[in-house]
Amino acid sequence: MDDLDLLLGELSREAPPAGSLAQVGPRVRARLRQRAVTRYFLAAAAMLATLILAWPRPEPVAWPGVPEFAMPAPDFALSKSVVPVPSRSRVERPKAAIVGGDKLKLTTNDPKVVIYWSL
Amino acid sequence: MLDSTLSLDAVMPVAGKLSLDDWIERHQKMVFRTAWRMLGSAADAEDVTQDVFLKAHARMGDLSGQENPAAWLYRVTVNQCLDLIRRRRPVEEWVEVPATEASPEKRAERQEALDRLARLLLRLPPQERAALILRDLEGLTSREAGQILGVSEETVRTAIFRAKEKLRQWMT
Repeated sequence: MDDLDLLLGELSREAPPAGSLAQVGPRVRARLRQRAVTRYFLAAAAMLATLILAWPRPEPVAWPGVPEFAMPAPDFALSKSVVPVPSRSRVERPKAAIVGGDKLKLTTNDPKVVIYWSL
Repeated sequence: MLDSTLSLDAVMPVAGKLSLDDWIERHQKMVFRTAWRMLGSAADAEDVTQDVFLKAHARMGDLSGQENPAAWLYRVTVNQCLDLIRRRRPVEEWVEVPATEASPEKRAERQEALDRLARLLLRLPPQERAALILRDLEGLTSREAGQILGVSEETVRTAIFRAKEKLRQWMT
């Protein structure tokens, strides 16, 4: 056994740095808690998603057929809209009447003027 | 010379009825020490130890049926360390190992030699380092170390021989 073997033996007995091991347990437990919380959340989310997907959906409602019926046309004539016709001034035209067989009597607007027309 | 309680048979005789706290209480030193020597950093070793026990917790049911759960813990620890080492830059770039280190006056010469050896371990190739740590620091047999590393007993012996040759060379 040479000096190297002795040194290796001493190295194997050397204590780890103080405080190094004290944190291992708490750190492992903290990580496990963190993982557990994450797992619970994921599981809850997955369950919720499954529930939503598996939830029975309502069947489409078959509405009763609407009876067809012919509605009779209303029995009245629509009155045409009365459009006021602009009034025209009437011109009295001479009126003619046959008098005495071969004469035509024409009256005018003026009662004093009477025209006799011989045919 | 080595602590006989480090033998795998003694480390974990019963696994099935242990709670996580018991596991941590019993084995955290072993896991931490292995990771610490593999990585050379107490902070990294703490992270690895935490990860190893989280994995152990996840496989608590399987482990309870195993004949030797300590071997499993060692294996996971070493693999975690090897992963971490692989992800990092080569050790030679960031570990300075001066040939003649100026030690603080108060530090004993032996302690200085130990510190230097611990740093030199980090220069070894990871597989050789793991073999040396498991057998010569953790006190396992070559066969047990081989089972943990997934190599033959002979390969472990060869790796340790090479590692020691390098260490002797670097220390002179």
